[in-house]
Amino acid sequence: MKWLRNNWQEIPGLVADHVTLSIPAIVLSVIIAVPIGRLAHKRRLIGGPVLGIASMLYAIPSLPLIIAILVLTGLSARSMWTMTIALTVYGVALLVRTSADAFAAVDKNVHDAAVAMGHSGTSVFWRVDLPLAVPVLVSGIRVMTVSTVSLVTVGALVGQSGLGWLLTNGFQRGIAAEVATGVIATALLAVILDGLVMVAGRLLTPWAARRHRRTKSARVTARPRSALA
Amino acid sequence: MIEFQQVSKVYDGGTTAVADFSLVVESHRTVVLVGSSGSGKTTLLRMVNRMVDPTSGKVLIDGEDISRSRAVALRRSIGYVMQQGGLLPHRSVLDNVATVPMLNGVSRKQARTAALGLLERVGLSAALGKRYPFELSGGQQQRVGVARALAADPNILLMDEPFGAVDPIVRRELQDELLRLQAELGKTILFVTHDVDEAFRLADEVVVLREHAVVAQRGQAAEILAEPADDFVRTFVGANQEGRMLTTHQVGGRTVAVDQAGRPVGILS
Repeated sequence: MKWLRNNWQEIPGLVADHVTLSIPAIVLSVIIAVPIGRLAHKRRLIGGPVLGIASMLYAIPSLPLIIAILVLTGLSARSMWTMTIALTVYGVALLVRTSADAFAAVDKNVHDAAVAMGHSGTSVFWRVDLPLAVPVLVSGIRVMTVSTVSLVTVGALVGQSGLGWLLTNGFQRGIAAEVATGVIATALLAVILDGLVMVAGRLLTPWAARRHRRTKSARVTARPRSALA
Repeated sequence: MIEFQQVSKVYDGGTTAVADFSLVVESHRTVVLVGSSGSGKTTLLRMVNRMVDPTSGKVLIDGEDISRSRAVALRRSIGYVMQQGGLLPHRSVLDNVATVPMLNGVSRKQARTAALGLLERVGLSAALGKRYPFELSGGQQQRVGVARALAADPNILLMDEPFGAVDPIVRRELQDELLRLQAELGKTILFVTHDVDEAFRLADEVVVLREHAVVAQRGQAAEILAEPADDFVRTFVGANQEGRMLTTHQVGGRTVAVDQAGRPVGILS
């Protein structure tokens, strides 16, 4: 507590750095993983291997991955992009399978009806498939967000600022309170960002919330509906 | 007018869905394709709006080969009602009905106003417009499906087992509603079902299909009942079942129709 009282001014800056490292990676992961997931869903033949390889990326230990990025890109270890690339690799690895599942969960009947009404290929995607995939996508993005926030702490090992610095510094200097602060602050940040993604998902899908409430209250008599219910 | 000219459909795996099918659907008539599952009836229906392209043969609408038209534009000019409505679950009822006019470039406001009128036309209150499809009963959803198909005022309506998922009483209501609408609107309707009674109730002309969309018999319902072409048709339409074989008795000066089990089913007037 004494440590916290003397050093609390440091924390907002570290949180800001942590967020600055997390957000671009989260956004990039979504932008990259969703099209891959959609492709994997549409073209089953290449979809299986693509999903397999993408998921395997998550198994690469973080330090070797960061070193590989340094070697391959020539970026400096302190560059924000080094960390962003590494986090995006993990983010994409986590999200592709859920993305493919999200599109698979869209009722084929509804997709066909949209095509039959005369939606073009792109408008079926933007107006029907993507909005209907959002509930499952959001669940995947929430997991990926939490994972990203915790992985950012590894950046401290290569000299990146963020809440991870509290862990390495506290550990080296033997200050338990500093380490505890780092752990708790990281967890809190993860919970907050997770909550924000959840709220954004709710706002994007007002229909799903109403359907959810309805199926919950009527569970006893409800007929089974699509996988989204 | 819809014309199938010797169309076939063989899927990539080598499965034949449709083999050498020809049919002319005259304008303003209701033609019902009836067959069990695997008879290729849905495939035939989907050939008309190019959801399926035939492997060989041609489909013509008003004399024009549709393979030369743009699929998206073609689909917007044809109404399509599918099983379980196929309504967009994330759009309100009103927006569902307004979809096709809006795709065609009509303003949102105008399309919604027109949609309100269409809801009334299919017997739904305008208040339902704000709801989401899952907040409606199965029968109401089907009515919305019909309203949506009519929204762009198409000449042709394709209906793929539209009333298959609702209970018999509601199905009967929906069939009556369709007959009433058709009397007012005079669309060219191609309707697919596996329910013989539904086919007989709705059709100007019934086409009975066996596997691979081979025509077993076509004609008016009465003709098919009176003279089934072969045993397949006789069994399929149930012409030899007790419900269809009626005898008459005189009771108190009236003629009562009785089925084979002896149950009175109606009175001849």
